[in-house]
Amino acid sequence: MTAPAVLNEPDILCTDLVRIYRSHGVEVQALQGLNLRVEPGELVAVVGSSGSGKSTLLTILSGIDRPTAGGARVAGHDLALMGPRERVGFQRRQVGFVWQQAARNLLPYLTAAENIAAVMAIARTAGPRARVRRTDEVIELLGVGDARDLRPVRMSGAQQQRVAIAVAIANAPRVLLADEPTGELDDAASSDVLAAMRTVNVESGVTTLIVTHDPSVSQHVRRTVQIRDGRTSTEVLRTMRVDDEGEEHHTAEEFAVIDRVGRLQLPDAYVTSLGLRDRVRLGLEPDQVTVRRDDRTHDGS
Amino acid sequence: MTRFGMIRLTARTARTAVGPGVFLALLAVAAASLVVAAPGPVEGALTGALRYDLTSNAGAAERELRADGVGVPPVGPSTNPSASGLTPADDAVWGALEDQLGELHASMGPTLRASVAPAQFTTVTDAVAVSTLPGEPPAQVTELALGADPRFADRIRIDSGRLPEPVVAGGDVDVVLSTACAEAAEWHVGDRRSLTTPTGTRVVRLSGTFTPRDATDPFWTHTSSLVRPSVLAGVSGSIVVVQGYLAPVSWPEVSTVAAPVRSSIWFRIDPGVVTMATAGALVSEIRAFESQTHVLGPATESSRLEALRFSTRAPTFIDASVRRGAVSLQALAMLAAGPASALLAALVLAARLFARRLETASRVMSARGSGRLRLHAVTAASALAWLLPGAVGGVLAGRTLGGTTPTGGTVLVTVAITAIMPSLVAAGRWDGTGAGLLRARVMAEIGVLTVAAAAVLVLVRNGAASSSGTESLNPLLVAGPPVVALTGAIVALRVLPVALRGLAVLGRRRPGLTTFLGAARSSRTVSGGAAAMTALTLGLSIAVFSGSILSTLSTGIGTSSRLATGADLRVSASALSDDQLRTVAAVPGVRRIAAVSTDRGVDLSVGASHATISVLVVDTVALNAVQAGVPGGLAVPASLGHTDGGPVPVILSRRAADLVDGEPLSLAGHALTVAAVAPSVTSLSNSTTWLLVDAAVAPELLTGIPSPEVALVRLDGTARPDLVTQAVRRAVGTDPTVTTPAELTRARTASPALTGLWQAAVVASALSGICGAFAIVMTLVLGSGARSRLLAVLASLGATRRDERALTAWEIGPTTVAALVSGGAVGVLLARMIIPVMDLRPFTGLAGTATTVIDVPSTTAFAGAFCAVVLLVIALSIVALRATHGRRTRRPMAEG
Ligand SMILES: Nc1ncnc2c1ncn2[C@@H]1O[C@H](COP(=O)(O)OP(=O)(O)O)[C@@H](O)[C@H]1O
Ligand SMILES: [Mg+2]
Repeated sequence: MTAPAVLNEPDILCTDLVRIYRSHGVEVQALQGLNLRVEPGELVAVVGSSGSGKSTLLTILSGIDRPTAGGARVAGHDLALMGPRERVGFQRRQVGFVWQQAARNLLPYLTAAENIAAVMAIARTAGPRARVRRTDEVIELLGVGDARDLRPVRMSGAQQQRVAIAVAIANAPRVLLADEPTGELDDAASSDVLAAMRTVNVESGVTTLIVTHDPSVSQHVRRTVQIRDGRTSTEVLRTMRVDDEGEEHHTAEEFAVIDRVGRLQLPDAYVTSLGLRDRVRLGLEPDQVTVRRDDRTHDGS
Repeated sequence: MTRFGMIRLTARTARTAVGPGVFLALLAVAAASLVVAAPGPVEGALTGALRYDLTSNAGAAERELRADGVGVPPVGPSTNPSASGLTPADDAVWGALEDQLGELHASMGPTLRASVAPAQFTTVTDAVAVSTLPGEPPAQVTELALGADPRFADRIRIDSGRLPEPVVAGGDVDVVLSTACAEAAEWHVGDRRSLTTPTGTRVVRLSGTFTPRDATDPFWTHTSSLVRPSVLAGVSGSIVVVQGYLAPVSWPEVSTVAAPVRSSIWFRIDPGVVTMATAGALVSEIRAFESQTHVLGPATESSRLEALRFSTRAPTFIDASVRRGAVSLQALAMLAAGPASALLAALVLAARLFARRLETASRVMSARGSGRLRLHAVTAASALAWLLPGAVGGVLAGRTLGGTTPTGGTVLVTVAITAIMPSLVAAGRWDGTGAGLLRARVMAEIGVLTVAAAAVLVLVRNGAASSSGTESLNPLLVAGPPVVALTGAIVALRVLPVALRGLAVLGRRRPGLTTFLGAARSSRTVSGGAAAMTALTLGLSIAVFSGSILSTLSTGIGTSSRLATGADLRVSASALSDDQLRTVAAVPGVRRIAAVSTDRGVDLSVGASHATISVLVVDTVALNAVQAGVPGGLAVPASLGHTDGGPVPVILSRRAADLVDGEPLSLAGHALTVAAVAPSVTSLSNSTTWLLVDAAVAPELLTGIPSPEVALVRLDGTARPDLVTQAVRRAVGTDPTVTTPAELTRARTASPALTGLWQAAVVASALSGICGAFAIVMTLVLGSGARSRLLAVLASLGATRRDERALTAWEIGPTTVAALVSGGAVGVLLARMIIPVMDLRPFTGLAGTATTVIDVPSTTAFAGAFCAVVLLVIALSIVALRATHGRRTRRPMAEG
């Protein structure tokens, strides 16, 4: 179950990922050809409004759900082709995840330390003694010593999510996935949890993917991917430069994402301000592509 | 920090579902204790019934294993005189006999040996004339029988005089007589009389008179003329026959000089020791003992006791009781199917409830990479953690309650059914609705239907034949009712959705949402209530069925009691004197009396040949009056009293009619004509091959008409039968038997077998009602998630609390109603189908099959009580659930 040793393979790679839900004869296209590439050790936020398919993406990446079409590889495993045995091993050792609700992350009847030990026991990744050591390690890493012997109901929201992160990385996965980890928290607690995620990312080098509807999260991460209607639309790269006087300069550049066949999504603001609809005119310049309104359709209507 | 592994994780997981866990454990306790405890009371009831039958149906004499023979038992000392309990002098004479009787006892099979008391015996000469010595005034003509018994002194109390002295060679023979005998013989203590024996004359002196210490000791029934004198009609006045005891040591001398000696040896079977479990062994050991001849040696002179053959009527009674026991067991096993299936359904549902409680935790563990097998193992182990202690506790409790020690196999099976099966159910996946599940359902249904059809077919074709006369259970009879009930549940489960869809269509046209929505939802979720439906259908059908068995039994017993009595009241004896008949007729409340004489062994000319037959003689006018309107009464044609010089009209019994087969009949030269043929078994006589003639014509046909053996009595309409019965008993004395239908019925229904059946039916109905109701409630709880989601949506659309309640009712109502309807129908069907092939004859005592009686009151009572229990438990549970509802919805575990 070791990952195939492909040189320079990203830890997360989605190509034209499609997920269609069918229930009672109605089809919902939750993912409509999503592309995403996350390199080992990266910390990436995927931001999108509610219903844009973020959770769907994450359940697929964590091996709980399967794609309808397209490819998804995580930590070297092809999620579309994975059998049940491989999936169990994958979930035990390659991914950890944090969901929005504590109930999906933690067993309510166990303390923080027991929850951490339990996932190791379930995964059989360590012997009893090693488990104790590893529990202490992750508790220290996430700074949840206070909560160690508390059950989830007794913890604060931020503590719950920090413990959830501790549980998620207990088996030292290659990839950490988080779905709205701050969704139920206030601003201060959110920052706290995001800081914890960053710490974990830096300290253990785990590839981290955070999914959220909260645009402010992008301020905490270097790379933010925008998702719209089941597709990645734009990316924001944030760089920090310290100048000669020692001051930090943050710059954020926004990019549109273009897929393998050349499709890209225009931001809503652009589309509405120019009144783009139905058909547009494209123009190829030496160093750029222009998109113009097709005036004929406008005059006609 | 302490280590935390899979075991602790499982233990903690098990602990989270405390509610369902405790419920599971309680169900396991109930189920296991019932399985383990049930055989105890059942065995106890059957044994009780056997003892009751042996005590109340069989007389003391009929319970004895007795041998009679002519001759003197062996005489001599025992091998171990100090152990015999006799005085050395007595032992020198009686010791050898005692030893041999001990050996006889020891030669019996172990069960028989343990069931009988040590041998008792009498040995008595035939009675010979004693006369007053010459010169003394004459006294009552008397015959004296002489007996001896080494233990006689313990059984009597001397009233006057003293115990007999040993005979000095050739001298006077001392005897003691009972005071009653001495008075009848006009013999005073100290008086001497001469005894004329075939070998000469001996002088006998009355040394004392006695009365029995315990007049009710069955020992005295083996003596005649000892406690009370017999009076014979002689040529010149009456002859008094008495028996006296002489000194035990003098027996050898006297027994040789006197007339022939008769000896009886008997072992009394103690009903209190007989058990149903050992009844078979007991009967076969009795038969073995009966089939041997026993010679009490050593061979001495000519008068030694001939070879003995023991016999007893006990096996007849034991066999009859065992047959009744088999019927009871059969019925009990059928009754048990109700609560058993309801308990199983409750266990299954509780296990699913338990698994449902662990679902969230399971999902977390599954996502963290717990393989499916391990996930199932954790769930199964969690359930087992509750179930196993419950099952073990149940086994222990059952052992204490039932007073029996279950075999290892029983314990294993019990634990497997009550602990392992439910935990596997909990671990399994039940929420699937895929094609595989549908196929499995169809297969299961076809399987059940096939088995049911086969069972019904075999039962209806040869059910009774295969069941009668065996003590073992007929598996078909036991499995039949539950399988048929299961079929009912299956049909109901298929029909109900269709009916509900129809209702939903109707509901769509009506204002208001709930009829449509409730029916539509119900039609889609019926299969979810399969377990509850099955439990209820089985429970109710078994309740109705058991009600029918019991009413059939009690009606059958009532009928047979009336048939056996054949009148309002019946008096029977070996002979009823004119005096007795007159006093009976004079008892206030007695309106009419018909006395029946039976002349046995009458020679009947049948065509060219002859047959031996009993002739019943009765005043047919009186008989008609007495038996008017009585079931089984003989409808005597009016012609019977008149001969008009032509052939004498008679009534033949069916058996007699078969015997003569239409040939011309004549009796004592008079031609007979058959006026009617009647059933062979009647209350008129214990003979079954008979012809009946009117008392008016009888003297011409018979040389002498014997005393009546039976008198049938009609009471005044206003008379209280119990009071009249008492008065008649007082009038006729202790010897004749006085019976009424009511008393006979009471005696038969008092049998522990029957009362046990009643109790079992009540317990079974109550248990299956409670478990069935629990199954319904658990179905409700299992559906609570989906319901509250729907209700949340509906509330936003403006649904009221009433709609909410209506929807809840729609969820369980149709299943409950359908189960009760199908259960009732199946119950009636079962009663109609299976009771006729159950052999209830051992209980009812009827010659043929008892008519199936689906008696409205008792069946309604059973079904009604069952429904009441079900509805009550459902109502209570809903109230209890509502009380905990608030807490439940505020749990932080709620799925977002
Ligand atoms: N199990 C499901 N069945 C049907 N539709 C679903 C299911 N889960 C999600 N969807 C639909 O797919 C779309 C994407 O949902 P989701 O991935 O939960 O979005 P997000 O997490 O970004 O809010 C939504 O329109 C949602 O209604
Ligand atoms: Mg979401």
